[in-house]
Amino acid sequence: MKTMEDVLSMLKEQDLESYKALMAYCDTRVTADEGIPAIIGLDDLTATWNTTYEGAKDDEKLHMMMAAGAMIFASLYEQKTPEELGHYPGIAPAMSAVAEMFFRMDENGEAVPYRDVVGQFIKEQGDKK
Amino acid sequence: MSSFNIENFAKLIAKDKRCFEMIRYLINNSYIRVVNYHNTNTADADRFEAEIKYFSQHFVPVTMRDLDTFFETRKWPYEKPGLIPAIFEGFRNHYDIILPILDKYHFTGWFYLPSFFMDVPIEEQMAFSEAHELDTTDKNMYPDGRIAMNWDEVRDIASRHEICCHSGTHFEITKETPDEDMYREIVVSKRHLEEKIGRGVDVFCWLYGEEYNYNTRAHKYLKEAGYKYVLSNLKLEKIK
Repeated sequence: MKTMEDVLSMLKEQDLESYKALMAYCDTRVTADEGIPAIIGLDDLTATWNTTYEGAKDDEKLHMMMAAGAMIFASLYEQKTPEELGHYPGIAPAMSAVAEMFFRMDENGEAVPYRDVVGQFIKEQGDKK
Repeated sequence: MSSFNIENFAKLIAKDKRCFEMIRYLINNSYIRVVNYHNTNTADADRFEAEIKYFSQHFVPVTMRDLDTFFETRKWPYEKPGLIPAIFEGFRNHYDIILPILDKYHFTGWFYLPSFFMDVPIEEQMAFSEAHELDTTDKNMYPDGRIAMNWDEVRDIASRHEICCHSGTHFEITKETPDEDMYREIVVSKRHLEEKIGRGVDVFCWLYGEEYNYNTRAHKYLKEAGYKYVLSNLKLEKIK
């Protein structure tokens, strides 16, 4: 996925149920005790002209998928009530959900979710027992 | 099957410009992954080790110099993306549990410290933490009652990781916060931290993740203190 056209095509094809399921998973995380992933922007407020950037080679294809994912998650979190969102605007949990779903890209070009890290650990613990 | 409604999304970005900004950062390659930690209790040590080991295999650690280079050259200097383990509140269990793991895998952590927490007498630390929303989840981990890092521990961390200022007393700075409180929590807290660790502190982090433009009254204090970056829960902004 490299262009905005690709992003819009992807958006049309998405079944939002998998995104809602991931949001439900995010609600089960314990912020006080667990590592909680997020994507944050890097912004140069001192820059006066060129603010285009070149990212990591390994993220070349993933960043547009993340952008599409952010649009979906932002829309879904916007439907929550202020009480459900607490202190934060809907885009904040959306960016954590993006990191959960698109944590990195594997050798086959597939997005690897963050919970696979936790899942693999739990599996290893189970194997030890 | 429910599907994405682009019209609703367009209304959303019209309502909250932060949505548009975040998508712009992603498209423009100006973003970074963070994994936020608060308590790092003994019971979770094995899981933290699995996480940090995984980070070391698939990402590169990020130093302040990497960030400076990224903004100077407008190019991420490595093939692998960067990842910042962001460790908040200055708890003693950070020194005892997650620091050895970070060191083992040579992965840089960014420690966000309320800089007056370390000065609180041991017998008052639990009450202080409860009064200042420094939530400890294993209250029995340290029978001697010391739950904050001491300054020797902070200095040891500072020798190979990044130290950032998370206010002085874990204080929520709002638009109505009096000037003297802003000065103490933004300026004095930074100077105190720098004096104790013997090096500069470049990053300030608000409570509740507010961004730079949230509070324009605070700008003069951020400038007076000499911060280079302000961290919110949506972005890291270079202000100097």
